[in-house]
Amino acid sequence: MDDLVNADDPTILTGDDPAIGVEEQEIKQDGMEVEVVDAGTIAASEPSSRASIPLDLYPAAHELPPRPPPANECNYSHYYAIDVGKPFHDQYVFRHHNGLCVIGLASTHSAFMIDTEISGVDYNVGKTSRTEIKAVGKRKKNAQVLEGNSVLCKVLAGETFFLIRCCVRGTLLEVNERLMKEPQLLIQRPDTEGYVAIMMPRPEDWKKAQATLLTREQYRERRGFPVN
Amino acid sequence: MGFSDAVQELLATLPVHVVLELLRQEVCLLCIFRFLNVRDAVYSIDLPTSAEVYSKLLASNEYREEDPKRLKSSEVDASITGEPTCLICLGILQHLHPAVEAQSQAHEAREAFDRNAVSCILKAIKDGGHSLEGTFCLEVSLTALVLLRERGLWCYLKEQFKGEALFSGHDVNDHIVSLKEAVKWSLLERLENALPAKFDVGATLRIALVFKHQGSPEDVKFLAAASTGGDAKRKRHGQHEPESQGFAAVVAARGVTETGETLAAVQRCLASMNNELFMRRYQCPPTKVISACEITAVIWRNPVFVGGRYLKYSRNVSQSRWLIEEERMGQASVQEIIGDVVMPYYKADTYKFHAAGREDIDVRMLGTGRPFIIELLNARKIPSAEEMEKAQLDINGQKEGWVKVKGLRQVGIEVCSLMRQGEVEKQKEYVAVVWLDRPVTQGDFQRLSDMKELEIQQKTPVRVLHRRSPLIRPRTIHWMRCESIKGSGNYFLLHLCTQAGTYIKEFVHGDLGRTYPNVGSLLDCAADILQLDVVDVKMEFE
Repeated sequence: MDDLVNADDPTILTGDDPAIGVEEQEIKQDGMEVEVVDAGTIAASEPSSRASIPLDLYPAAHELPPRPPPANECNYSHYYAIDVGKPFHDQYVFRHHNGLCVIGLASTHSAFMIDTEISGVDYNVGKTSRTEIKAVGKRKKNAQVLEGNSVLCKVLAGETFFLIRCCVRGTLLEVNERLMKEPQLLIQRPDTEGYVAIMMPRPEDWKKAQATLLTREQYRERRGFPVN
Repeated sequence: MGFSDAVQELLATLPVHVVLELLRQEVCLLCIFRFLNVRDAVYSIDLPTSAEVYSKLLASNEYREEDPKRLKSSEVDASITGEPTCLICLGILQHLHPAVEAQSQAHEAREAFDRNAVSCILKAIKDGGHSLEGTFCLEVSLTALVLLRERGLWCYLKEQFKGEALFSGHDVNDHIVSLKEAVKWSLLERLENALPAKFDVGATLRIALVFKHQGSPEDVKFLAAASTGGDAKRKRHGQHEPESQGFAAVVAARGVTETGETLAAVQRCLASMNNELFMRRYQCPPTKVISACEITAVIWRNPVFVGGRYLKYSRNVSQSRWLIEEERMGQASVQEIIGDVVMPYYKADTYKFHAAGREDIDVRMLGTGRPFIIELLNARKIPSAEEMEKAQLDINGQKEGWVKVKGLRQVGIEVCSLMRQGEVEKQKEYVAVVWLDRPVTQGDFQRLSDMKELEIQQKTPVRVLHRRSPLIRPRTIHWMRCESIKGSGNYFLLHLCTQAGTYIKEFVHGDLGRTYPNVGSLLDCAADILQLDVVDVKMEFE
């Protein structure tokens, strides 16, 4: 375990091993010779000698970023809607590059601020439960089109409840049914497994919605996050 | 042209009065044979002229006294213009005949060239630049007028020779030798010798002989009246795009009559009326024609395939050409890097790329490589195995080194289904660089490597949900093996082998918990993926 946690001196790893240098050249000249060597042998040899692209099969520790760009950061643009319906009913709209929007509760939502703990999520709003109408097929047949102020679900906390809204007009593709059994995901992982729904707005609807939303910076400023 | 023994023998077996009548109607000898159900080699042997046959038959004692005037006139016609154009085959079969070809070539070189099928084909091959490679397949595309005229003559003969068993059948198509077949009997051997190449129905080189004729006014009138508009309507709706559909469409487009009816439409129309109705609508026997059919030869090679395995070393090269609003995504594509090198070796019109699955643009393909095939459309030439080795060196020698190939060679059409199978069925092996939001422990490694044949439920990933159906797909992770990265606390290498169609990135980061279980849920922490490589596509394709 120790060598996993304590970094070896990276300078040792960058040391030139002439034998490996030759091997790398051969590979460059003739791609046919490239084989994935058994992982054990690679780990035993100096991984950093493969640093030059395209042959860094295994990156060395010092080449690794402190953490990878999180999947929900690099693939999404983060937007926020504050005071949705009521003060401090803050929600996020994470827009994937493909145009889909993940809707959820921002960390400043008043549901997180009250003393009573969140006890449930109820998608049974509107004429039919949001869980019942399912989009089918590539063209998402049967899917419901909801308005920006349509209610997606109720978040229950003891006697009180909070209405969560779409924030953008679009097709409702999916709601997070796991929340019904595990509402604590809203608190534990609000940005990932605690998402509320996935919407697909038309480009023109997105444009309209975007004008009403805050960027992450604007949101942090409005909610008094410390400037980093 | 004399009467060879074969011809003498043949003529002796035919009903003389029928032959005479047909000759009077200006039906060519070969079409007479067709209507009398004569088969095989006779279509390619040397024949006397119609006039010679006519006078010979007439001279045979029983028919001496009948209609001597007609004999005179056809002798005169024959001496001036060769022979009148056959009103059934519209010269198609008549002018294919070697004797006629040789004759007309000598006399009227220019016109003969248009009519001579063999030289027409040779010229088309030369113009197209196709190499023969030993075999070819011949397809004959006839004008629909022939069907009309065969039917017309058949009805006439049925009336004229009521007692004759030969013409008692109802449907002309069941009782005469089809013109297509006769054309092949007449032409194939000479064509084989002239090319030279062997006829083979499976050959990739396709030769189409297309015959066109504008028809007599009666023909046009009949076709116009018979027009149901069905085909025309389909055309208006833009479903006919010959260019994009290759050879069959090219031939079909040329087979359309002047009035816009396709062969199939005329066939349907003829089938829908009985002989009595037909005779009221169409003049039987058919009227004489002045000009013969025009011949066009179309040469095309059916798709040929080049297969191999590719390796991709770049995280900025996509598998297929990827354009978003005219802008290229990534530096290049595997498809173009390989296809642009291979295509010139085949002098093809274009190519299509198929592979056993695909990886994301930022995922490398290492190890065994991924099986692929390139489908070359209308290749002019078939390179040798040595040339394919050279093509492989060309690709592997590119200075960027983004893509390499191995085992590049020409393969059969059966690999197409193999490729599809490989896409959906075969196991894939990957190496992922995984990060956890806490230090990695031996216990984590143990936990992951202990899981065999782990079934996961994978909802369609958000990143493709906009274009794919929302579904929950069960997928199997066959095994996992972990390896530490020296000096890094939170990263490790995850080797894993999965069922085809598993989204690996989503299995690692969980995709909002929509792939479950995932690496994070299995280790009770948050997991993310820094990079991914495919290292094996477990498929036999050598």
